[in-house]
Amino acid sequence: MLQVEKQKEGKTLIMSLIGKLDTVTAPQLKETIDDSLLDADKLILDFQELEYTSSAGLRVLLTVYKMMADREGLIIRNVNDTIMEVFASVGFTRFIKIE
Amino acid sequence: MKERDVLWENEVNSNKVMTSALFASVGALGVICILLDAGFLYVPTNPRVPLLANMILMSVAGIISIRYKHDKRWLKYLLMGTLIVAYCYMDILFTYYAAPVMMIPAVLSSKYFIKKYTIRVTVVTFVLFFITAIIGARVGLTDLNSLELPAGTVIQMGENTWLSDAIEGYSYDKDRMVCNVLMYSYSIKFLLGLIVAVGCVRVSEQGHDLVFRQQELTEKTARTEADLSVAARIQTDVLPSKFPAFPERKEFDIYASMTPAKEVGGDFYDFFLVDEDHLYMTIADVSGKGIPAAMFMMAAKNILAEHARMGKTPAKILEGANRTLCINNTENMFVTAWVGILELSNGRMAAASAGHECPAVKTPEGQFKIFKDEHGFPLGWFKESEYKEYEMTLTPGTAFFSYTDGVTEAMDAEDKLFGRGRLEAALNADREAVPEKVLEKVRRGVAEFVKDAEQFDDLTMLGLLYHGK
Repeated sequence: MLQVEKQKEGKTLIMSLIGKLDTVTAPQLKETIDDSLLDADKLILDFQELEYTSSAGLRVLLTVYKMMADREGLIIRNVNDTIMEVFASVGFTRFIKIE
Repeated sequence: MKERDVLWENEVNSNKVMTSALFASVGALGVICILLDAGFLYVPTNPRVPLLANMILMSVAGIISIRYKHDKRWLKYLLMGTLIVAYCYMDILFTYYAAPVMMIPAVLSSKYFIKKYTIRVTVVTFVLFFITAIIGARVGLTDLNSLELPAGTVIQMGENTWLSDAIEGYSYDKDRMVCNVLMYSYSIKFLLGLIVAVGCVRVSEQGHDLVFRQQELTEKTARTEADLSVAARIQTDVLPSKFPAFPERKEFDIYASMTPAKEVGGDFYDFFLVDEDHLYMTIADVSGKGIPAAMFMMAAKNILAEHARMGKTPAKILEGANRTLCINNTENMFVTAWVGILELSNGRMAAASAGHECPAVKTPEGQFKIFKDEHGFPLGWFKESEYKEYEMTLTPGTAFFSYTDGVTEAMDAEDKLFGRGRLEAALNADREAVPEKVLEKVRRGVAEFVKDAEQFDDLTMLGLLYHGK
């Protein structure tokens, strides 16, 4: 189960993820991002209420990171400890901006 | 051939439905007999014998169908035939009361999902009911709506007299009566029946299509499942699974296992002797699950092994494999991997990690502890990734354990994770355990933890015990 709340501030798109990012929900997130990213330069993903992310979730995040590389980029904020550990383990922390 | 199989199965089932309908009709006729006896119903001709005959006829047809397990071509004609005959008789006897029974054969015939059959049954029923309408008008219950009495006839009503009783004995034109019945009663019945019949023909048509679509789907699923089970076998066959793996080598013991969450998975392990003195080991986890992960896994395992066979160091093996896996990787599939090469003569192990879980190490006197190694990026992310190698020396008696996140991220029903703490506890449950037993302990620990929750991710482990020379 994953719920995505979208909010737009000028060219910045803020998405709050609520629930879990796994094999089933990760493709849904990708679709939602693809649909709403057309005229945004910056994407902020708010993980305040995201409990967990599986490797399928990481794959989507990486794809989005690569997509945003030629724009102002991707920022992930409010990452909980469990997810932070996964991020650190695969090295996400070294190239994705995490606030 | 297949077409006939599904339709045939449906026909047998439809015969069952028909048999039930026949027995239900027998019951209904039984009730009518009782009502006639009790005087609640009245008909001009004595119907006892023909009614009983019909009941017997229908019962026999039903019993024959059961006797042949509803599994004969001619049964549908026998069953429908008896039903129609019985209903025709009811129509003769009860005329306007029995009007709705004309619709029943068409409705029941639609269950066979054979359009032609429904049309035939409908036509036969309508024709026969045309004839029974004529006969019924002469011998059955008098339909007062169609009765024309001579001009000036006075009907004398007594106390509690029914109109049908009151006209008893009046003479009237029988031919005129037949004409009236056909014009005002049968014609309406016919039109209503036509609406029902059109519906039934459509139902039988669509039922036919539906049965086939379902059949197609079932076959497709069966094929996919068969493919998957072969794929699963191929996948497990590429992983070394004969233990003890090196019975002639006394320096070490190795054991590994992979349990996919679905039929096929994205986890793998591998090990082999690069040369007499070097043991290559790897454990890896492809992102995602199922077929996509399995396909990427097959490639990743072979590419890693290829680089290992060239005698490269772990870091170089990962770098080489990463470059290959990055080519045309538009789906951004990736694999986290740990690679280690153990020098059997002196216990020196070089290792490198591409974003994989931290392994656990146990010194001869100590306990298993998670070893926080340095991670490079998973394979498949960035073409130019470099990997840092680290080295440790295994003294004789040192044990080593590596795993995928299916272990630490196994979830119980309340979404709690198994975690490193529980993993360490399971690893240390038995200090003397050989790798096979260590893996068994962890697997049991995970199973006891998740209880009834479904296995969520592939679960893969690799254990090593170094004995030294």
